[in-house]
Amino acid sequence: MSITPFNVPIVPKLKRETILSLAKRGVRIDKRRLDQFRPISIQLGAAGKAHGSALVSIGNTKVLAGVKIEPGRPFPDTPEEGVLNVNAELVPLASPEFEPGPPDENAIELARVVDRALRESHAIDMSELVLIPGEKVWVVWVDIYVLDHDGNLFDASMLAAMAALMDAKIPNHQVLEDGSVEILGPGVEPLPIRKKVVSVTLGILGDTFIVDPSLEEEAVADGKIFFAFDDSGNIVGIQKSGPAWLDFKKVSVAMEIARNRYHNVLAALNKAFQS
Amino acid sequence: MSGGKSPVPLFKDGKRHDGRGPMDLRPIEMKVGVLNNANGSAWVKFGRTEVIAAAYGPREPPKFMSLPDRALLRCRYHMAPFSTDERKNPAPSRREIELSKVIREALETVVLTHLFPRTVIDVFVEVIQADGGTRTAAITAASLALADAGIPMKDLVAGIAVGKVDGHLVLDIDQIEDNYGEADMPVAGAVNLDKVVLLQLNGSLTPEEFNKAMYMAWEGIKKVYALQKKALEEKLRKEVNL
Amino acid sequence: MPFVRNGERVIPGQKLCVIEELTPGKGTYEDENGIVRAAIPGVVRLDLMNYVVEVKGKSADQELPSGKDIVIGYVLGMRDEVAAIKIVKSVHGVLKGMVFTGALHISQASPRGYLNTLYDGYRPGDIVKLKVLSGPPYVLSAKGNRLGVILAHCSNCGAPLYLRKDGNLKCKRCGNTEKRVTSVDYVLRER
Repeated sequence: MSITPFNVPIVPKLKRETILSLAKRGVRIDKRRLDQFRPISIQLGAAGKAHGSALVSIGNTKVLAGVKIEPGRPFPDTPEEGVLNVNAELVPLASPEFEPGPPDENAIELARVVDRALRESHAIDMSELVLIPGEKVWVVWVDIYVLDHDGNLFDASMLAAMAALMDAKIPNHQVLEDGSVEILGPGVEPLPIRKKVVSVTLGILGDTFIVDPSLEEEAVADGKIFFAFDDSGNIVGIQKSGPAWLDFKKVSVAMEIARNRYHNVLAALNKAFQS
Repeated sequence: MSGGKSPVPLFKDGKRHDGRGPMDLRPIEMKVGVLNNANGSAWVKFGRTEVIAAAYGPREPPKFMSLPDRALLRCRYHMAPFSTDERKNPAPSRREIELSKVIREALETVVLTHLFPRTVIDVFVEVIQADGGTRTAAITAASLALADAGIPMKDLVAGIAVGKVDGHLVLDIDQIEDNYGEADMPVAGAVNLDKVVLLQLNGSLTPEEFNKAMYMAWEGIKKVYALQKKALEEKLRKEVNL
Repeated sequence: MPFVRNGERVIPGQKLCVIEELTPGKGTYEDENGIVRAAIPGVVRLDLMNYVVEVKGKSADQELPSGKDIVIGYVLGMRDEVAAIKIVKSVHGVLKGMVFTGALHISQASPRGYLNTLYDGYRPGDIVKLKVLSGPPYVLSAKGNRLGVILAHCSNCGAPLYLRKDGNLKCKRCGNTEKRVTSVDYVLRER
């Protein structure tokens, strides 16, 4: 059952008027422009035992994503495709508001939003992840670990997941005659990535949209809206989140603002893989 | 969108697999006040998709769970185990948890919660039969149930999904179009106020397709709203003359 | 000119008038553009004498107990100074799905004088008629006409107690005599 959050941070609420009046004049509490991201950095291979990993920072927000690739059974309705699983953990070390325990609705929403953007864009060619058709396929696990929460977990998690998948290498293996798969060690072959997917999330402050909202801004915003894009500029995922509404006519405005900014995120992703 | 090939052609000669045109809705039925115990209730049917919603409250919140300035809203979207082709485990799935959240957040934009500080308002939606578009049917029914309970709202909320099948945008997709189509975009809105309160996209659309899909959704939402109005007026007519 | 006629049926969100014409009354609200709209389904009442527009219909905020309402409930639990009362019925009828608990403090527990302890006038399980002072969370009072216990049960054997002419309550099964802050409306009387 979903309940209105009742343990909301009090301090940012007191700053609401300041943040709103600044936004009306086109500025933000941390001096950014309304459509400006905080600095983005990506560190690949941050988790040694994962088959692929990436530590992403957007400002003070830090998200670590790890990819594990294991042999497993395909879903009965897609016997000739690999399996993608995305999970997110809001671990208690990341914020005083996070508590230990099974994923809550926020963690589940986060994981499912990232999952859908990767899946529906066909970012990975799942048909190439088959070991024995109908029997054995690669199961790709993406685990998103939020380490430090300073807002905009959607974009940081999306970027960390995408970078970790691009960093991932399929383990060295051989398919034995009895149908089992023996893992020989770390591999060199990357996953069949067909598209790079990145996202831009806007905070909704009344009539104003702010790109990449910080935690403070999220606390006073009515809600946010997430747009995922593939590298040809198609929209591959949307999620309105939080108790906000948007003017019908403003929806396409929001989409354009996001679409004008996804290049920044894509550039950061490409830069990480150049060196 | 689970991939694979559709067993039937999804779009042929301007018609969809069930004979509808791109802008046609499924046959829709709505009834308000269908349950005795709830403060308000509604039953909504979109083709073979069928949901029941109930609203309870405002009532006492559990200890230490209240807001000093407004009511809490609690929402549960749940699918009956027999609502799907294969039996669904009744334990709430990750999908149901997410949908409960997006539906609650959509309703929270319209319910005048500040009239009921330190209370809780509950909305329960059970999917009786699932054939695509359950979340938009759910929110349509939920807002009717709240209205029936006399819980003041800024506007009703009506929902519809736009899909993309075989490269064509179509309104009010069903299960097959959802499974084998290229996109599913559920939208819910407050028509009188021109506000979008729920928006998700699963699938891939170009920006042009997205803008067109939004307009199609809005046309659909207006039709759903007209039916909501009719259902509520019918209930009003039955009540004692005020 | 308002957008609606007197007596017209409306549903939430429907335009009624602009704020310059009539003030928003019960069952209505003013939106961010100064338009008065219906908030509940019901019938429009244009009060042109007082310049008020209302929507008459079932409305949760009018059904909810509020200040000075008389409510009926039962004693859930109690200590010497305060009792928790489950409110089950208000002037508007049975509170279907809108159940609340209220608090009755010893200082408000008796219409006349005061009690040393709440147990001198109330016991868990007693059905009471009280007045709402504020809430939710509800604060209740027995100071007023016809307020107090309207039905009590024997502390020994659980049988219903009958009100005697001397104001005490008597158990017809085990003969036990008890005291309560009884209302004029106490339901069982010994003839």
